[in-house]
Amino acid sequence: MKKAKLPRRSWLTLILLFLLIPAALIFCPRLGGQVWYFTSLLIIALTLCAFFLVFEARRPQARELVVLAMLSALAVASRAAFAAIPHFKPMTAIIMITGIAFGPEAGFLTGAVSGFVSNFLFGQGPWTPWQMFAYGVGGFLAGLLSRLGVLKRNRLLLTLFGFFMVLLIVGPLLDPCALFTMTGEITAASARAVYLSGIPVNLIHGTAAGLTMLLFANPLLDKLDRLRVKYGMLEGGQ
Amino acid sequence: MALFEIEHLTFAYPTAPDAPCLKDVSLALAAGEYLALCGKSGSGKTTFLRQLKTVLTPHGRKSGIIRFDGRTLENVDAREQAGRIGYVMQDPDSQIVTDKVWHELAFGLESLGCDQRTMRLRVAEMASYFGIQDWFHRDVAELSGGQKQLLNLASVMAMQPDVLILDEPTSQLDPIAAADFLNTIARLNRELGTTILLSEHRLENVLPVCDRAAVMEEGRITIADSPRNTVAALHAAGSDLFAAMPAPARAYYAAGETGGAVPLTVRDGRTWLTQKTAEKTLTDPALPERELSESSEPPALELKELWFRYEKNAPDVLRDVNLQVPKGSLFAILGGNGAGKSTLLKAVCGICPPYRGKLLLDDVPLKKWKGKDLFRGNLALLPQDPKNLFVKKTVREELAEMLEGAPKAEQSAEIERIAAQCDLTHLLDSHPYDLSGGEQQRAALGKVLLTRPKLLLLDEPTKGLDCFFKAEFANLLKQFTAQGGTAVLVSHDVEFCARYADLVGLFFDGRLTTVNTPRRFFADNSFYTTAANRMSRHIFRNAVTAEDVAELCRRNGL
Amino acid sequence: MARGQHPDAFAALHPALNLIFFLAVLVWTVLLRHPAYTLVSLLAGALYYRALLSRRAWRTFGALLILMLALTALNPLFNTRGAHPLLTLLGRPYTLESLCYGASAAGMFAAALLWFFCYGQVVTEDKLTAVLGRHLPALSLLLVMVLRLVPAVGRRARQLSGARRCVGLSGSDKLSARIGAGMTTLSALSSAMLEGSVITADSMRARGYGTGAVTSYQDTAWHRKDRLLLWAVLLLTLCTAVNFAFGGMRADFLPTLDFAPILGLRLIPLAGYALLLLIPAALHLWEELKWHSLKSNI
Repeated sequence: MKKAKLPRRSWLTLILLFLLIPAALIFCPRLGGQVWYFTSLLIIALTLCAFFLVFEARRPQARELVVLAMLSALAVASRAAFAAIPHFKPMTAIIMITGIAFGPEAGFLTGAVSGFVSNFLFGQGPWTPWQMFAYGVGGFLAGLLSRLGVLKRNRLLLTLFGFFMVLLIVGPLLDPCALFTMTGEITAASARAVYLSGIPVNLIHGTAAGLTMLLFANPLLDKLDRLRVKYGMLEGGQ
Repeated sequence: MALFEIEHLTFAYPTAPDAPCLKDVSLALAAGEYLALCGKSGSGKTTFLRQLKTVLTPHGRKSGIIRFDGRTLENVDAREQAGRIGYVMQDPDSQIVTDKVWHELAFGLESLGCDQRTMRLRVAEMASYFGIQDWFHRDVAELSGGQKQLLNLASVMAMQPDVLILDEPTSQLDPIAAADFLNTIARLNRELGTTILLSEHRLENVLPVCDRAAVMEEGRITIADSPRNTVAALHAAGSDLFAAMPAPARAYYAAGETGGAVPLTVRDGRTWLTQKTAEKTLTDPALPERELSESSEPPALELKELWFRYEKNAPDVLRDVNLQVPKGSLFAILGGNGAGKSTLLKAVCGICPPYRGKLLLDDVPLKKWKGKDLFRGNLALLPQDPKNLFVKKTVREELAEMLEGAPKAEQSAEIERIAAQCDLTHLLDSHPYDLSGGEQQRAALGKVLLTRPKLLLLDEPTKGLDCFFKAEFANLLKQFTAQGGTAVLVSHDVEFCARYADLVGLFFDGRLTTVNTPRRFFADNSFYTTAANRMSRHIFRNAVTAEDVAELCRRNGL
Repeated sequence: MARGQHPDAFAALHPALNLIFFLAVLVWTVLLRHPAYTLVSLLAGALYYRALLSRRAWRTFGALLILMLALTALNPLFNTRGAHPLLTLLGRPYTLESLCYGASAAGMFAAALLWFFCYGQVVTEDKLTAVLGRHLPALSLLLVMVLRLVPAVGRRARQLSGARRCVGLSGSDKLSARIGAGMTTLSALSSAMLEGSVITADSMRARGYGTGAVTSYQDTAWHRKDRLLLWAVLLLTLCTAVNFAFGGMRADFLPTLDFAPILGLRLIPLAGYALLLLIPAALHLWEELKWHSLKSNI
């Protein structure tokens, strides 16, 4: 029974990713009018579903589940540690570190779950799917680059990665929510306006991520290593 | 038939393959039996209990046989073990998995793939049996420590295990919650016939109700007999574990009794003392009392009519607190949960600034102290959980953190000094999280003492410590006060305060009611007092420890 | 929120029904650009939000109105298409069509926000995890665990920084020092929480997690009323979808305004859409009335 389930879910995931997303891209514009927000939401929803199904199919072990939950909660609540500094959010960096430690899929999942749960605290809205997607991509790319050997545990490298990742990818992915919902039709002018106005926020966000990577990435990775050695935990994670 | 049979079990961790942690352990646990396992911290109790459930068994080299219900444990599959062998651990918080009480109760049943009907029935049953209905829909974050541990127990019992294994389940609870919890365990055993294997250091609540008590010393089971025989055997062997036995039993032997039925409860202790003193006139029913010396020096800490509340419209937490702590004393503040004891310490630290009243530190108002100076060489607080002070990879780095800015040579000299004082020298290169509870407490104390405080505040310092670590810790505090330091501790631990404090105060309803020396303080109370005092108060006037009872017996020629 | 303390009659229905309803409403709200449909969604959302929050809703309405006006006025600045220039601003035309388009987008955004606010009141986290638990058990469990840990992490962070303050380790007020202190707290926080997670994992495995097939404890059952309403939601959604497929809500703003006329028979799907969106508010009102009459009978 276990064996029968695993491939079925994996197939479902592949179908979702490789057939439905292009189909959505082709089909949605035919619905007439401006449906970009709807189209993008559909694609995000399909991507999220794909990752969630992969996770289910893997039947995660208790220890992996617990540590991912802990890191997600740490990402969401990390602002409490910086209560003395307003606007300092290490969330993105913690998600990226999770990606580095446990791989791209786990990084995406942690990002998506963190984005979702943080909105339970600050209020759900049309931005929720975008945030889940943006943080997920951050975790995914960090994990992917680390698996490919591009991203090493070098503090400078990690810092630069954190900063530019937020400035160029995570931040801009968070912005289009405003683009789609607030200005309605996408034009070159509206896109430029939204992205330019987003730069100062993304700079602050990126600096927080870079600093967190500089000061916290290696300590956290060391702690995860210690857990591996002391409890033989998370062996399947790597 | 025996439910568990353990034969010649030997186990060694991979880090120390030549020093086995369990040595040739043999023990049988009959169905329906209640067995208490006693032993010092680090004697191998946890390692032993974890052998009895395969998923919890640590990696290592193992020999010997464990049979569960007639089969070797390896042949009982994981699903059956999960259902039939219940396991409750120490930490009430971390054992909880889900965010809602009802979900936690259902968690085990969900994992075992139980059907809806059975699951609803079992959850409803457990909630009713354990009196959880009122908080069934709550978030687990809202529960007290005692409620959390009861929830952990109930969620294990929902799977209807044949045997319940509990590893020091009350060590993080206050005495009242702990007694409630242990009563529930006894009730499960009595009413449902659940087999119980419990390791515990609050033996006064366990020994009177268990069927057998086993003693583990350095990885061996040395005694496994009825509670009375075990106490007698420990006394006969001169074992230092005897110090962990209930006060009535210790008083009994300290008074020179030999055979006969050892009293394990206050009631039996009273009967024994009554019989012993029958038809005799007591010449000297009280111990001499140390007089409070009137010191000319200003007190180390003085509070005058202190009032505090957390928010403008919230009720007062501190209401008109008056307190004088003489220099060089060990001052204990006792009180129940939520009485405001911890808030009092926070007020002294300036975290909860009072809105009315005066707070004098060494005769200087607290407000006059500049932020950092206050905590440099004057005042320091040892937090309830020593782990809250640990941020580094080794104990040495932890200590060095307090000396940042000082020259290297001075730093290492200071570290050596404090390590020697707090018995940390052999632990300096260990990770703070790898230490045992008592060692962590000492490391945290070392860290705090490096600020060279004149006044040391301690929040529940004996929580989770066994009586040996408590004695060790008390010695450290005594050294500190002997060198002129002053210590103020808040605690639930009546026995500890009676034994080691110079002055004791009772905190209730936001204020300090009485302050006195331990003997006078406890002699005046009739409920809130030590077991030795409760068993002897109808005969002797001010005996508060087992030794006091024995001493008075001797003085009166009994 | 504890069960039995639902904010209203709609929230007391089966959680899956709640979720399906909000999903349908949100999809239609962002998909249908016809002004009549946007207006229906906006009004129905506002009505239900008012029912849920009573007087406190007015502040939100005020803020949303200001937001809508600002978004409407801003749109022509970015979008110069449209046949009827109203004025010239910074050398660019400010067109009527673009202004209307802005109003439509703003209305849609406000309606989506209102429905999300209602969703936040109705679909509490335990409802969501209960529905997820049936179909995605691992994800649902992950979510539940994160929800338990978030307050625990916050509490621990406060304890840690408090403990450090009381031994004089809080550092100075400089920004660099505060960042350093924050990082130390974060690092200690992760140590403490990771150590706890080892115990949590043990506790899960001790209770049989990972030994085979799992089930999900369901506190709720499908009642007759739930099933009836489910059919109503599905039927009305289908009706809207058919109308959508036949272009009944076609709406073009640029370069000229061109809406599908809503007259005669075309009013039926609009009424159906309104009926769908009014389900929660109607249930809410119905229950209020029922309790009122019960009370006067006592």
